[in-house]
Amino acid sequence: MRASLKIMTVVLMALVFVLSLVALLNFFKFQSSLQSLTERRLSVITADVRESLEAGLSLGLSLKHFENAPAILERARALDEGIAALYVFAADGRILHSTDRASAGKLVDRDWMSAQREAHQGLWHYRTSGLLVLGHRLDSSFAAGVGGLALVYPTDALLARVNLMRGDLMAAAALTLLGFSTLAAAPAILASRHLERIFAGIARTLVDSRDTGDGGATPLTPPLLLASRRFNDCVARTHAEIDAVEQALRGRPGGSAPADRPHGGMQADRSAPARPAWEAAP
Amino acid sequence: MTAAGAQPSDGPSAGTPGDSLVDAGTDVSRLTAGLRSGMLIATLALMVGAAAVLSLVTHRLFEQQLAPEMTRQAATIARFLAADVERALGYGIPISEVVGVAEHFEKARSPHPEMEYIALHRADGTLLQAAGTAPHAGGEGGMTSGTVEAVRGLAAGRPALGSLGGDLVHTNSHDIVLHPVRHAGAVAGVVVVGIDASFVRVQMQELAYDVLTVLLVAVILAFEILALLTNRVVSPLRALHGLMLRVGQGQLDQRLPDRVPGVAGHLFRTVNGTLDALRKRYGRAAAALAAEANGPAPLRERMAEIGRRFGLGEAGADGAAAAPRPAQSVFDVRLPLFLFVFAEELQKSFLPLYIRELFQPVGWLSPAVLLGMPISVYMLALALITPVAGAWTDRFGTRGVFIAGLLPAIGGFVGSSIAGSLFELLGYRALTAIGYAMITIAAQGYIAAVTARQGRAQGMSAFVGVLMAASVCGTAIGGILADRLGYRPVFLFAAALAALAGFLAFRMLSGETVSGGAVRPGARSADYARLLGNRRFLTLLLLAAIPAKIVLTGFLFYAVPLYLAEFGASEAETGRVMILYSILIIAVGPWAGRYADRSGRSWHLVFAGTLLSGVAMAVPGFLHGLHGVLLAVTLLALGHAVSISPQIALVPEVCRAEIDRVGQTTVLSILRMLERVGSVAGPLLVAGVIARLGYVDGLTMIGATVAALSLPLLFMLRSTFRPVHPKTEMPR
Repeated sequence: MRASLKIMTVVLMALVFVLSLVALLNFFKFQSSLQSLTERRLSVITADVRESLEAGLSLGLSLKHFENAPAILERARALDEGIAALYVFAADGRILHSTDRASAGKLVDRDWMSAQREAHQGLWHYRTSGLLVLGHRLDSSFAAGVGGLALVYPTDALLARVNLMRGDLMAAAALTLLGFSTLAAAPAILASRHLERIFAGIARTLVDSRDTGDGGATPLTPPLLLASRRFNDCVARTHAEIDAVEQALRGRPGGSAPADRPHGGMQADRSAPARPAWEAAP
Repeated sequence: MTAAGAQPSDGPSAGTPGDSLVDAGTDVSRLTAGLRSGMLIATLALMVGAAAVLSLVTHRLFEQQLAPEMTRQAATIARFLAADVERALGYGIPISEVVGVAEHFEKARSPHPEMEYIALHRADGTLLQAAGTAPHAGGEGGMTSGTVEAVRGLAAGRPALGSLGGDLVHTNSHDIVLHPVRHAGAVAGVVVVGIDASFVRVQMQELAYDVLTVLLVAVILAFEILALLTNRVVSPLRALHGLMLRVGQGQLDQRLPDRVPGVAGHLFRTVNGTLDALRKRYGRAAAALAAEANGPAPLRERMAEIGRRFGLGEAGADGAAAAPRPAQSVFDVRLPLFLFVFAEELQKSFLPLYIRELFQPVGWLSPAVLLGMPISVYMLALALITPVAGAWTDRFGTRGVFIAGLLPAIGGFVGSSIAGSLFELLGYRALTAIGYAMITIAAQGYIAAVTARQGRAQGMSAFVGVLMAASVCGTAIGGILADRLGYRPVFLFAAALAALAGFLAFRMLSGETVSGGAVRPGARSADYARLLGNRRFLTLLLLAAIPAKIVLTGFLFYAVPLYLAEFGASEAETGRVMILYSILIIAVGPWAGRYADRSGRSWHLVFAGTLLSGVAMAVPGFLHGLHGVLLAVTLLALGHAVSISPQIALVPEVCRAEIDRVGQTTVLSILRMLERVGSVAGPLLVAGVIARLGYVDGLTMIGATVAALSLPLLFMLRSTFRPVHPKTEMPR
């Protein structure tokens, strides 16, 4: 993989990490804010119903014979089209009044009763998949916990909005990633080019004799330039020593030494590998 | 094959200093560092920019989605409050004489931070009473003209300018919701609820600390990956540079890797071609000389000498030298180790809370002991497995042990996520500890194996740096994730991260590397006995090293998350408080180590650090809540930062005879092993005392004890102080 691609990949990974976590944080914040807003709005309604009911109870009315209760519940339900039902139940959990007439006389969910028992200052809520139940313990001036009130709110619409936000956030994160990935290409390419220029400089110093003198056309630093030169010197010197042996061999009577060959490291050897001179000899 | 008799070249080119070749290594290192810094700055800028853009976009999305909900909220409240006022009017009280309206409105408003104010207006727009902070923009009754106009419009039965759906009105400054108060068939007044325009912004600001934490972690993560990447990107240049240096010194039996892409690859092939051709030429010349039956012996000898001198004698028939093996470095193990430790540290900010969630009383065990047990059992398993893991590393190689260690670690993470009881969690945490011990020992072994002796301290320092960085990242991100997702999914995330670490280890670690051995001394029971007979060593161990570990595991790991939860702190906040410890250790620790080395005041620092850590535990006694814990963790970190390195620096002074006999590394490893008694006992001790005395008194008592234990160190200081300049090895 090219250096620029490697650098891009790392920057992309960092961006994906940051954006996914920021998006995740934002998503959960939205979910909790929306949930909190909804619950607080519904609790305003339950508080009003509770006050109306407890006012009657404090006058001595029994919860079972509270004739206005259905009207109070219906009025509360009309305040929000999202409310599925409201229930008023006795201390044993039996439903006494409800916007859902068919439920009268039945027992409320056992979990509601345990939530009410553990409620802090009488206010409780219970969540299950697809339903939010907000409740309040009902007290009168004569007795505490004479019954309870429950408001049932399906969370489908809330979930739909949360899902919509999830989609929007993912799209926003993806677009941001796309945009910043494009920006990330610039430093990656710059870094990669910097390295390539150094290699090109070394290549020219090693291969091209015209540049070895001053190295001015290359971005090589003096230590790298010196290392390149020493490489060339050593290669050239080895060739020279082999040449010397060959010449000595050629000088002998009947010797079959090869002809001279230029030796100047890689600078004299652009079409490496070099052919020893004796290979061309008959 | 090396050219043992190689003569250096005749000398450097004219005008170039002789040590420039050495400088070239620094030059490549400087290039690597420069490239890494540049990339890190660019990455940081891009990450901050991307996070800012996404936050801005999110802000707009939040406004779009939350504004209708806030309006509905305001409308519901306005409706009920208007009904309350109507009831009062029904009793014949004039609207301007209804008393207690502001108080009643304030009671209704206070649970709803998005409601800026609630006001009651007369139908002519006059403000009668209000709760909250209504805007004062010079309008009638102190209200803005937009509000007054909207009230008058509603009372007159016509929608105000900017009205949406009748009740919601956009004024210049913010949105208001109006509801009429009717009496005797007419509008007697209007309830106005002002919606706080900054509510969404406040919601976003609440995320600011979390986003900053994410950015901090991302920078550390990017640093780790970039360290690896720049090393790999620059490695062709380093390889070429190394080859040029060696060839320059007369070692021609060199070859560069063939499969390198780009400009570097082209150059590598050219260089290889040049060297191959030279070797081939030599080979053929030597063969031709040897083929001559009556060839002159001096020439043959001269040719052989050239071959020996330049390393040309053993080239293959085609003139090619053996291809080099890929270079191994500390960078190979950094990222896998970082990811694994990151995964393990994810639980730190909430483990005691998770333990409490799973807690069920067991008749024969005190609840306090039960609550402290998972951390203690983890520490015990770690202490017991560490020496064994070292032996496995020697036998099976570092990569094998690293990858094998992932099996118990991942099993432990997955098990912890599904644990149904405290005892199950105990078992799974012990399993994780086994994996942790294997992996960290394997990583140390790898570093020891791939670093030269003189570079080993630096390698081990990188190891400690990775542990601390991963601890910061894991603790912070673990808290954020637990806060949102719950505890169990975080363990699954840890398992996934550990698996990724294993994949990287498999790809990046060399299978041939066995432990460097030098980091794993073989301590025998006789060595333990000899050291425990050393009074000064015992003092250091019992009064400084073990108390430090008790405070670390008992206070920081066990008590801090539970205590902060008592004050309603989220897991993310707990994580942020806990990472302060690692950050301060990273920042102050090296300074304290250097100071101890330079001044020889190690006993002073150990005394001060132990005293400070004791005082730290007592801080919640007089400063409650988050700020108290913040101060306590800061003092604890400072205490440990100034005393941990000097503890090690004291060992050569305190155990001179033992070091002469068994070596410094063995003595240090015994100290490290014995101080783990404190790690194991810490959570149990602190849990037990807290259960009996409560958080404040319990922590104060333990803190006072630790502080009191530091006092005898003063006597040691008086009897032994003299400036020394000890050379210390990196402890395990």
